Amino acid sequence: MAPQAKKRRRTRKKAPAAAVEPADGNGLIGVLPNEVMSSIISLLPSDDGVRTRAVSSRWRDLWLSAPLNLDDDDLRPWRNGDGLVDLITEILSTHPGPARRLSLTNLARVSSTHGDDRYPSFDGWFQSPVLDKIKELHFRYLFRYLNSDVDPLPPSALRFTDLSVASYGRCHFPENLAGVSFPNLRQLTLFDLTNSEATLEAMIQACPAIRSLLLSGNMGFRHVRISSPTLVSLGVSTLRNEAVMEELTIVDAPSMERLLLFETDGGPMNIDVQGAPNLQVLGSLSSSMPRVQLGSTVLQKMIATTVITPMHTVKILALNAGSFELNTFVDILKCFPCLQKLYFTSFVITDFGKTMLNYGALSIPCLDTHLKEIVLRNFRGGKDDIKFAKFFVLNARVLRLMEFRVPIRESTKKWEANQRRKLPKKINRASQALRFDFVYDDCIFRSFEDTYCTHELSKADPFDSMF
Amino acid sequence: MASPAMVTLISSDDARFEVTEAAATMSQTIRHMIEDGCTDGGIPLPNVPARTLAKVLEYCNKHAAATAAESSAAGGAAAGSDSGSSSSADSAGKDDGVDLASFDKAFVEVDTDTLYDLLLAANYLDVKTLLDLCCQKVADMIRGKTPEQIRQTFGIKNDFSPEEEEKIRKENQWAFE
Repeated sequence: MAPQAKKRRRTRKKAPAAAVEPADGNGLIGVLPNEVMSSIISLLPSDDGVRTRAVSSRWRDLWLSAPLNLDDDDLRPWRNGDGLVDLITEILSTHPGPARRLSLTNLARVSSTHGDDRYPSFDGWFQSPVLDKIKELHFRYLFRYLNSDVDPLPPSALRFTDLSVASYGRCHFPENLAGVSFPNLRQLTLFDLTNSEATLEAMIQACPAIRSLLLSGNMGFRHVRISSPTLVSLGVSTLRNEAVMEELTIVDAPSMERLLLFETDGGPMNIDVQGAPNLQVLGSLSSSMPRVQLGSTVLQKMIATTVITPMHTVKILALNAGSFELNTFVDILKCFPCLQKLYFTSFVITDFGKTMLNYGALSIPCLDTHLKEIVLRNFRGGKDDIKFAKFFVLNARVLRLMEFRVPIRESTKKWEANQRRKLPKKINRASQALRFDFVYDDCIFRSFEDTYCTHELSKADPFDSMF
Repeated sequence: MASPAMVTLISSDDARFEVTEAAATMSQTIRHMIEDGCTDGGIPLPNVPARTLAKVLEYCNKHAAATAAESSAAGGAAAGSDSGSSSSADSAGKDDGVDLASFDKAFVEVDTDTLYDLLLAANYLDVKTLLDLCCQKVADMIRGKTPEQIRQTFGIKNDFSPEEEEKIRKENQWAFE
C-alpha cells in the first residue's frame, strides 16, 4: 500500500559538509528549540552555564531560562568564603528560577576570617522562592577544626517537597520534624549529624517513597531501627575509634535487597536482620562482630549459636576476617544456600588448623549448586591462603571464577605460576569451568569504602567496581 | 510464544520501518498515536527523515530489548529465590546493564549534524531517555570551554559588539576568572 503521508521536507536544508555555519550565524545548534537548549544548559556546572551567556545574543538569556543548577563547587570555592556567600546571594537574586539542583558544601557555619555566623545567610537562601521546586539538594557545613559547637540546620532546608535526591551533613537537625514531608524523595544521605536516632526515624517516616538510604558517621545514632515499606538499599558506615552504633535492627523492610556495611569499627555491635525477606546483598560482615542475627539464626563472632535457618534470598556476601576457623566459615556458608558470589577479605594471616583437612566430608548447599564467583582480597600466597582457596576449588561445583587480589606486589609471572602450581590441578577440581584471575595492587585491601554505591541500584553487584 | 505486535513507521522521505510496538512506544508521541488508533497504513512521522529515524530506532530497539530482558530476569530471580534453583538470568541482566551504558556512550559518538538531528527527533518523538542522552552529550561538549571555543565548536557567529561582550563578562566576572 502506498504511504498516505505526504512527502515533506524539513525546512532546514542539509548544508554541504564544508558549510558548517548557516546564514543566521547561530550554527546548527540554532535549530534546537529553546526548551532543549535550556535542558542542555541546566546540565552544565554553574560556571559553564553562566559563561554561555557570552557566546551570542541568542545564548545570552538561555541560562536565565534554564532551570538553575547551583553548586558551590563550581563557584571558585577556594576564594575567600565571604566572597562565596556574596556570590551565592547574587546568583539567587539574578536567576528568576526555578532551580533544579542546589549543592552547598564549601562554607562553614562561622566565617573563619570575621567570625560571622552564616546561619542567617543559609536560612535566607533556603527560603528563596527560586529554590521552591528543587529536585536535588546537597548540604553540609564545612568542617571546622576543634569545633565543639552544635551547628544547627535551618528548618527552611527541610521545606523542599519536590526533592528526589537529598543529602544533609555535619549539622544538627531541628528536634521536631513534625510537618516535614518528602513525598518524592528516593535517595537520602545523612552523615555526621549530631542528632540521636530519633531524628533518623522521623526522617524515614517523612520519606514514604525512599529507595536508598546512606548513614555515615552520625555519632548519635546508637540504636538504629529501620522500618520502611519501600527501602531497597541501606548503607551504614561508622568510621570511629570507639563503638558508636550499638545496634542496627532491620525491623520491617519488605523491599530491602541490600544491606551494605562499610567501615564498621564504630559499630554496629549487634546486627539484627529480622524483617528483610528479600535481602540479596549483604556485607561486609566481619568475624569480629559480637552478634549478628539473621532471622532466627544467631551468630556470635560469626559462629552459629542456634540452629541455622537459611536465608535463600542472599546472592552476594562480603566477609571480612581476622582470624578464622573453618567451621565458622562453614556456618556462614550454610546460612546462605543460594549464594552466588563471595568476597572474602582477610586482614591477618589466617590459621585454619587441622579442621581444614576435613573438607571432603562437608556438605554445603551453596557450594553444590550456586556459588559461581569468589574474590579473595589480600591473598598473599601463604599456606593458609592456599588452603582456603583449595577448599573452594575442591568443593565448589559450579564455581566459574576465583579472583585473587594480591596486595603489595607487582605482577610477576614467576610468582603467579608458583601460586597456580600450589592449587589443585584441573582434573581434581570440583568445577571444570573454573578460571583463576590474579589482580595486583600496591596497597593492602581495606573494607569496601565507596559508600555511594548504596544509591546505585542499577548495578547488580554494588561491590563489583570496588577494588 | 506469540510474535510481538508490530507497527509501521513512515519517515518524512517515505521510507517505511517495521518495528515492535515495544520499541516504537518508547516514543510518547507514537504511543499517543497508537492509543488514538491512527495506525492504519503506518504512522507518518513528517518531521523525521529516514536516516535519523533509522538511528532513533536502533536506540529504541536496543533499549526495549534490554527492558524486556531485565523484567524476565527479575521474574527469573524471584522464581529462583522461591525454588532455591540457580538463576542465571541474574548475570544476564547485569551484562545488559553494562552493555547498555557502553551502547549509549558509543551511540552519541557522532558528528554534530547527526547529534542535532537526533536531538530534534528525540524531542519531536518524545523519547525522554534519548533526549537526555543527547543533551548530556552536548553539555559535555560545552563543559570547560570559553565562549570563543563554544562558538568554534558549534559554528556560532559572535554578534555582540565588543562593548556588549565586555559588559556581560563584567557582570559575571567570577565565571571568567
